[in-house]
Amino acid sequence: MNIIKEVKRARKGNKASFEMLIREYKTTMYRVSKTILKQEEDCADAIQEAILKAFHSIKTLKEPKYFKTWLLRIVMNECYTIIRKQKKVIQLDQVPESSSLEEGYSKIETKELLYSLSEEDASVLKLFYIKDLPIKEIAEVMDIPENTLKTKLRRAKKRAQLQVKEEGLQWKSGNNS
Amino acid sequence: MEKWEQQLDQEVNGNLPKVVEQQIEETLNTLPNKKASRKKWMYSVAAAVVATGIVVSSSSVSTTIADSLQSVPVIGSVMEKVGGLGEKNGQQKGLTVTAGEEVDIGDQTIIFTETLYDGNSIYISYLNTSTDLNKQVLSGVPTVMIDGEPLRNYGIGAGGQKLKEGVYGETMSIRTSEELPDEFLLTLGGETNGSQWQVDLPVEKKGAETVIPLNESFSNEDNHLRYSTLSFTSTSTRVQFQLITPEDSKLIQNGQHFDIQVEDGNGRVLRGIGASSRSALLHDGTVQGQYTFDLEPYGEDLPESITIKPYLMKIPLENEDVEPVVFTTKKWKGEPITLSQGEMGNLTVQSVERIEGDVTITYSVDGEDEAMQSSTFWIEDSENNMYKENRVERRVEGNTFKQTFYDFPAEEDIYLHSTEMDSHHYISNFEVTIDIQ
Repeated sequence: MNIIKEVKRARKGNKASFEMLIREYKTTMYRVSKTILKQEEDCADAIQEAILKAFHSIKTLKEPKYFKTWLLRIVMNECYTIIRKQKKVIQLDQVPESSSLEEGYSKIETKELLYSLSEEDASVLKLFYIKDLPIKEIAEVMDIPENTLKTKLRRAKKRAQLQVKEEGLQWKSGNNS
Repeated sequence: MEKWEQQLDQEVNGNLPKVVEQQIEETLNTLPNKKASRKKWMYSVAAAVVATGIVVSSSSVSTTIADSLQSVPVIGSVMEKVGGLGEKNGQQKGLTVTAGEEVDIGDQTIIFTETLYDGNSIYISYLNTSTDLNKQVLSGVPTVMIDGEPLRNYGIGAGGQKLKEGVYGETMSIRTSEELPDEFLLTLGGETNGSQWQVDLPVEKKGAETVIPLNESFSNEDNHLRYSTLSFTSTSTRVQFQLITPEDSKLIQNGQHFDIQVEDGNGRVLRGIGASSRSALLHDGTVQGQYTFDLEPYGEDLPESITIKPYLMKIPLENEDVEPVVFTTKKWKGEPITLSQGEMGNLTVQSVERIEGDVTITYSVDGEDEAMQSSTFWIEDSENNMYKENRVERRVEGNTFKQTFYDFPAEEDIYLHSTEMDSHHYISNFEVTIDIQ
């Protein structure tokens, strides 16, 4: 698929092109949303809102080559909106997510590690490991220079490594459920 | 990568859960069809590839039921009724192969009616007995196999229209650069909600193919264009060329639409029916693009010459002030009536024939680009519901065209629509005339 061409068509109101673009990036949309939200249903809601907003505002996208990062930024904004709404009900930040043995020990340890890091470090790390989302695009999504992102990433990795050492987290060889 | 990194890598790259995927599809299905309100609307009509995202809800393995074709209340060839100019021409020449394969998908049935292969593209027509075209059309990106072997490089386009209540006619085209046998079994397959579907369709290469190597190069400032081939088949007239430009060339910038107008020695401007391109940024900073344009096919007799006239069309950027589109609308009152198309020319509706919900309109165009002018036409009812599902108008003769719109309310007045358009900006240095005979 020629992304640029499809974006141009979508901007002109071509619904089929817009649908193709969404299908092209749906997995990345989900993975990005999952770095912020915990529940699948919340991810689905955030993506739904993002699709609707993107569809109605695609005309404001000036450069077709930025469609992907523009879309992902909308997804992230929708995720934060959902978090804000949820915080009105309960301060989730204050409540560590309960772990379930069914998830396997390693997953719990990853969650513990991420929870022990600052929100920014955890977010940068999660985005960095998403496939098909290169550093350049993460920087665009986060709206920061690429070099700044690289610095943040180095620091986040270092802190994570320190946490692993200091907390003595033992990494199992896979999912033990 | 350390252990924790491996684990994180696994966790953030999870597959798309069904609940999310379903909600995405449902959301896409609720998106309204936009009615463009700006001048940019008209640019999509020139040589756009017809492509529709398609979703299948569930499926089962197909069985051959030739009788079911008779139970569907549609008379005639689906390929002929809803196909593009190429498919229509191929069908009229008797080049199609009857398929007669049926796939039950949830509460609907897909009946594959015909296949057509001319050496350039494979076309498949089918009937879809769903109640909602957007929700139930078959396609998306099905897997394709040729005689049981997977086809690796291919592109799919699809389109169709409502024929009668609960019956949609659709065609799908598959383009590939891979060599195909003259006769083969085409297998389409997919997976929906965890269940597999598959259908086998017989395909046979039919019709004559004439390929003319061109190898003619032209330059315009730092832009270089090399025409590679001109080919004629029963379903299309195909022009292929390579365009090499600096990265900042005006020809490929946002806000410009690069296109071609093809005219034969008799002054007939060919209607574009499909286009594709791919480009790569080279190390020296130039952009190399490969372009393929498919235009309406010729019959038995090829023209004496073909003139290819590349042009640029300014597409206003989002932050630019844009003049609103000037729509020209007139109510059909039983007499020939002319709609202005601005600098481009005029469109005159000659006659309107109504048979139940089918509205067939004969019209002629007069002006600079009859292909673009003839395609910039649609009808609406009194409540501004737009009828433009029909994919391509049929050329009756010369500059006269015929288009049928289906399922138009029987009691409604017909409002004829077009828009005013600016002239093209031709790149005369790239223009070439090719003698055919």
